[in-house]
Amino acid sequence: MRHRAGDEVPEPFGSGGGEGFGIADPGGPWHGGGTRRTGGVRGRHGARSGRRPYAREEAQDHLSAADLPPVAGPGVQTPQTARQHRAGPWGDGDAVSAAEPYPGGGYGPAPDPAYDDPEPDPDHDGPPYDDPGEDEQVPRRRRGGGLLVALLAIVAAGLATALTLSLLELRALRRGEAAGSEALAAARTYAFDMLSYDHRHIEQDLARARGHATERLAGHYRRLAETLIPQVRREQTIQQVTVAGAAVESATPERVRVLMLVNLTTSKLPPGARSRRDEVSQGRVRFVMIKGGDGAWRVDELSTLLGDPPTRT
Amino acid sequence: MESRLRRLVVMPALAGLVVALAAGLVWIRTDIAEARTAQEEREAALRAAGVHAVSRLSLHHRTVDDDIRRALSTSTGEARSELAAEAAKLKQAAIDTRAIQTGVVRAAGLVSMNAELTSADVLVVADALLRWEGGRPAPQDRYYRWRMRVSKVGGAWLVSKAEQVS
Repeated sequence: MRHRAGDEVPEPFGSGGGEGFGIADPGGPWHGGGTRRTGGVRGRHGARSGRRPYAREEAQDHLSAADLPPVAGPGVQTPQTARQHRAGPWGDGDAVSAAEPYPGGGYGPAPDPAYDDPEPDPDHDGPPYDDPGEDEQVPRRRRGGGLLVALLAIVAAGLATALTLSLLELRALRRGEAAGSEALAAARTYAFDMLSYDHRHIEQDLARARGHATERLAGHYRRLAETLIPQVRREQTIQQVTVAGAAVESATPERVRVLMLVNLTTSKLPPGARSRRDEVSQGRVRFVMIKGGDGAWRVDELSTLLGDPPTRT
Repeated sequence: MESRLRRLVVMPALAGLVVALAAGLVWIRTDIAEARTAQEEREAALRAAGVHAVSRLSLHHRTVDDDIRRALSTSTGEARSELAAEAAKLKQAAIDTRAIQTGVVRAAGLVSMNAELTSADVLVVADALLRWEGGRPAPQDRYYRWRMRVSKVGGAWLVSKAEQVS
């Protein structure tokens, strides 16, 4: 007896006619052969193509509710259907093939030789739903999985490298910004010590200035002391500095150029003069600040940037 | 078993790692781009202040109209208004004395910049050499210390306020 709906339905979909009811009859005559048929593959194809309604019609046309075991159907899991749910998106695709009554029952369309299975091999211990190509697909899948893992690992390594380099780049940029602020604050603090002195303690003043200087600039201060100290003592000079403004000209993490507008008040009593002479001048200085190994900023260069026009008071 | 382990653990873990690294990289690159933009804007603000200072200090009695126009083109707001108000007097003085003044920027530094990168305070130190055609009186050196407010207007940095620091 031919299954009418099976005759009408194209081959791949016709195999979906079981809708799982064959699986619900594990002891039935179709079970063993059905599960091993390539029809199982066909059933999956039918399910994937969204043509399941055919299968339902087929089942409804030819099987009454009384014919169906009560556990059959989607959403109800027997050990077998549970296994099939793992096997495909519908889970009952293989059930369809299992339900197909071709081997003994005569349901469905005439067997298509192209899909015919060889006789069941009782010694076959593979998975119950594998098709002839599955054994070959497993190594292929493994190879594919291995390739994917390798690809992901390469991409992850590349991203990790790019991330590390980017972090270093960002850190340098941030350190440059921070260095500007730190050096600016340090330069403001050092300005008085570096540029102020008093004839009564000029040596200590110069020593204090050297304390904020790099070795290079400290050497310059030592050379300056040879001529400055006698002159300051002779004129009884007192010079004091106030900072009128400070700004960052350029900044890298280790070197910052700071521009400062300073007002210098100088008081002198030249030899022979009866009273002190005071001067206020508007100066501008550039401190080149260097970050030392101890993390402290020190003045490495000091420039007066030309011009120091005095305004007499 | 090994394949299953790879499928269930290794591949999702690697995929997650790739996604996390990519997200982190995007985040960092965005921060870098912002930092670079801020750096470029700081430099542009300093350049604008320097250009304005030179424009303001450089004039020739024969090209005084162009010189004043150039100085006006680098300013906006209050600085431009002040300059425009002085323009007529400056022009007349330059023509009458046959003045030739050349300005040069000695240094410019950034005091601060707002978070929107649209306004900055800058210190500018500039000198000018003033002479008069005919050689008398003797040339004079002039020294300037400015605090300038530089504003970004229509994508360009212009000096909106300039005051001498005393």
